[in-house]
Amino acid sequence: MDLTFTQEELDFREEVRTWLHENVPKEARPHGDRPDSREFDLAWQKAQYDGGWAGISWPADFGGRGLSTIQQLIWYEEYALADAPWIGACFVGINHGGPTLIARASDEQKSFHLPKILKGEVVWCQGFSEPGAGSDLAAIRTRGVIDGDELVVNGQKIWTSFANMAEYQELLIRTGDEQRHKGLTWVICDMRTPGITVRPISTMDRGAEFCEVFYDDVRIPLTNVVGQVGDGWSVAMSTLSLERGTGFMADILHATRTIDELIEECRHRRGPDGRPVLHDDEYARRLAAAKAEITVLRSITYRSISRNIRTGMPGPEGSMLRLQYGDLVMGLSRLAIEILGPDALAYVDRFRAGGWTGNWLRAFAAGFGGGTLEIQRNIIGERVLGLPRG
Amino acid sequence: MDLMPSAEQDEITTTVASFLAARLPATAHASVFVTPGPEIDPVVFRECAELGWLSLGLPEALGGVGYGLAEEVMLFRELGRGLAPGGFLPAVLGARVAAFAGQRELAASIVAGEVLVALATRDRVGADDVSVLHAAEATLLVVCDAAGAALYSLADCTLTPIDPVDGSIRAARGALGGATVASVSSEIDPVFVRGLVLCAAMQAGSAEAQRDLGVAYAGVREQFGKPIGANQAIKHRCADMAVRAEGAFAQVCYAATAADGGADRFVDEAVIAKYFADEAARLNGEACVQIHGAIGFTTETLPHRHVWRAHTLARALAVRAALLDHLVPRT
Ligand SMILES: Cc1cc2nc3c(=O)[nH]c(=O)nc-3n(C[C@H](O)[C@H](O)[C@H](O)COP(=O)(O)OP(=O)(O)OC[C@H]3O[C@@H](n4cnc5c(N)ncnc54)[C@H](O)[C@@H]3O)c2cc1C
Repeated sequence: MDLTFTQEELDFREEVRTWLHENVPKEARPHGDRPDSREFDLAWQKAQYDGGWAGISWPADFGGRGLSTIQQLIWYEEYALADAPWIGACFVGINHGGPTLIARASDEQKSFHLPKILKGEVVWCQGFSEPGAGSDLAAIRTRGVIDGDELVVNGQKIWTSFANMAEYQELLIRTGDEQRHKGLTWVICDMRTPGITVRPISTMDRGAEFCEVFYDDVRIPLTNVVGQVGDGWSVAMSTLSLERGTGFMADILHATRTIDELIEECRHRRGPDGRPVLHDDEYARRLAAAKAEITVLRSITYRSISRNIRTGMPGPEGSMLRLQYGDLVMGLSRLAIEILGPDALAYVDRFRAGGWTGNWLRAFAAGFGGGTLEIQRNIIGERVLGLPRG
Repeated sequence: MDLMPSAEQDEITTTVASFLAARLPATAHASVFVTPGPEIDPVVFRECAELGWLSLGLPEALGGVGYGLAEEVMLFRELGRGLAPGGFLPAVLGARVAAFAGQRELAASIVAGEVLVALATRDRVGADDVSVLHAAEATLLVVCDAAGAALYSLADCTLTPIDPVDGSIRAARGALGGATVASVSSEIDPVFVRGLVLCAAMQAGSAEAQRDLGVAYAGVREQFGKPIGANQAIKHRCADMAVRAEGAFAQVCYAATAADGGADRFVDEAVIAKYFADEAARLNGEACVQIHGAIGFTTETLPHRHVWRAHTLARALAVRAALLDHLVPRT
């Protein structure tokens, strides 16, 4: 066990810190149905690319930096400490679609798409979930039929974040007659293709990026298939190893910041009895417990990354992190709005200073990402602990 | 940066675990009643001492093995997992006090397992009233807090034995008395903070043991024609136990490694380790008993012993409220 960083890594951290300090946008990210949120996210992505910071662990052949896992970790740590913006519309391209392409796409597909993603030229979205296929992703029914050198797609996707502003989609469809995990295909769908209809769905935190997507005889060239036709399940599952879990560090440090800010706030803010909130044992200790729990999450992440570097395999901690983080974020934002007292009546979006109510409403989504909390518990119980399936 | 144990550190785990299994196996019945005789067979305790267990983290120059806290936590995690009897923690802390205070001979006899040490925790900040663990055969008592650590002669203190929740640990309550035999400030050696990490390591080991006991039982006990662990109500309890155990040990590793590297935030990390591991051991105890059904409520199986032990260790060195108040001071 060793917590030290090499001189090269320390220099790298210094360089990252300086660049972020000078380049992180000063203005808050636009929230909700503001049309400029896409432009904001892409401009920030482009700035990172121009600075040489996009795709730190992506292969250099396709515009990435090809650096180490530890350097990727350092980037995320500094990113959070610099209070750099939420990745927003670039999320799927950078964190899911891009990594899947790196793992499974042809060189041609990679050289066309990866630089565009890194340079902030395009937005990607993820078309996996359907009305009848949420946790049970293998139940998807959107169909693709091969017609000459094209796939003809009919069906519906839902909960597709950023579909309303995306150029491309990672689309998972059923192309064979087999059931469940077999007969699926992962294909790059150009969202400007005729036959696609996108309908926004508004969310409880006033977000405007949630959508449902309808496909009516949408023709997609077979050359857009990633991997083989019928091999879509394994392509869809191949994404996660690239960053070896470092991405989580940014979320954790962001939450740590939030807790520290809240503690500072409680030194000045007065509770119902007129005293500073921090003089109330209950609040002070709940804040301390939250601080302890987020710190532990940091330690789990460090261990997880260490194990991953040694074995080359993502360990069981991924599900543990998601579970613990989901519970923590909800508890923390609930604590924040309790402390706010009467100020908690007002809605303030989560990107603005004092956006505690917006944060709290967003926290309801933390229990779904990458599988719901219940699904994470199933995974830990069955795949990590070896308990029998229900 | 690498927060996984090295091969050498893993070796400590294996060695300690196999010694404990052979010489000090945890049994369900050991603590039904307060067992007569000594808490731990003195011969076995001295064997452990010969293996270097009482001086793993003590610098070589002071007569120790010279490993770091990271190696020491591997030992204490196994002691917790294996429900080992005996005052290992106060011996290790007491030897540090003596050694850093320049009392080499005293340190040597503690490290050899000849002089036994008890662990005192002040009942309130600054009070002389103390709760004492491993009190029976000890002649010295170690007491420590954020400011420093001291050894007292047990004979000078007024202690009354109590009937402890954990019958495998002799406990007493009373007041400190007499002059200190040796003392060190935390600037010279952070005895208290190291103690927090080692105690947390024992609690982490217990949380892991409870996870394993619960999961094993959930896999074999059948009701309604299938293992109870196939039901999500049980499976999810097991998953939560696994998350808590992973968190407790990860934080112990972080705190120990930070201490060895001389990081300035070592104190907070140690406090968090103790807080989280206490919680993990306690909550895993509740879950583990529940998973076992009625037999978990009896002394026929091991879970109750972890419940007793976790409860007792959570009261050692610093309790939940004190740990949390350190993290978020009021002013
Ligand atoms: C903010 C946000 C963004 C998203 N973005 C995208 C996106 O871009 N693209 C995309 O494809 N999808 C997206 N999703 C969808 C997400 O993947 C699904 O919400 C998730 O997979 C759960 O599916 P569901 O909502 O249909 O819930 P369901 O699967 O219907 O689950 C409902 C409830 O039942 C529980 N449940 C289901 N099965 C089990 C079981 N076996 N055991 C125990 N409990 C169970 C669940 O935990 C949940 O509490 C997004 C979701 C959110 C909240």
